[in-house]
Amino acid sequence: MSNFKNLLVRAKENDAAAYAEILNMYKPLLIKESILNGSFDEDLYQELCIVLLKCIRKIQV
Amino acid sequence: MRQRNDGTGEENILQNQFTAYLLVAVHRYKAAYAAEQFKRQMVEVYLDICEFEMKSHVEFDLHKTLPILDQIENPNLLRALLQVEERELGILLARALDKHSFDEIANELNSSYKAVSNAYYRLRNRLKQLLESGDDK
Repeated sequence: MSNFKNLLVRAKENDAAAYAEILNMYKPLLIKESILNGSFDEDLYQELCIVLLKCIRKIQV
Repeated sequence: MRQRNDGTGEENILQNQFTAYLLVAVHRYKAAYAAEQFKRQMVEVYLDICEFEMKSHVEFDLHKTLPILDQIENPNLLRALLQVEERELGILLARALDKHSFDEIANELNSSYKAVSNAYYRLRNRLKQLLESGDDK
């Protein structure tokens, strides 16, 4: 099984380390998307982290 | 060290699919969040203007001409009064604010003195209870 697929499967099974690794992988993207009206929005960043977790749960592997 | 994703191979394809899926979700959430924030800002600006205007003398006088429920600043009292029936509220306001006697109110409402006074005291006690329970929260 490939590395990313393995990570996703583990995260889907509620493996905290796998969650953390995926979150770490996508952190730059989430930070970039958390910039609203030219400034970093901490609340939005937190919400986007939750969106990431929901995506992990929902995506079919 | 991570290898660059060139879009080939099962791992890269899956990761690209996941990234695309995530991006759509992120953009949707961000749009909803920005709309919500914009709406909140509009309300906040509106309230700021109200607060500023209330400080001026002219607006303060205007405040007194508002309907009675709009003049109430205590949120617990307002919430309690909104739960009261219109007829009972009329009796309470006529008695407490306009200083009408129970006889006058009874004549206006085509009711008896006893019925009006009972309604007034019943409502007063109920409001007292509602306010006390509202203060506890």
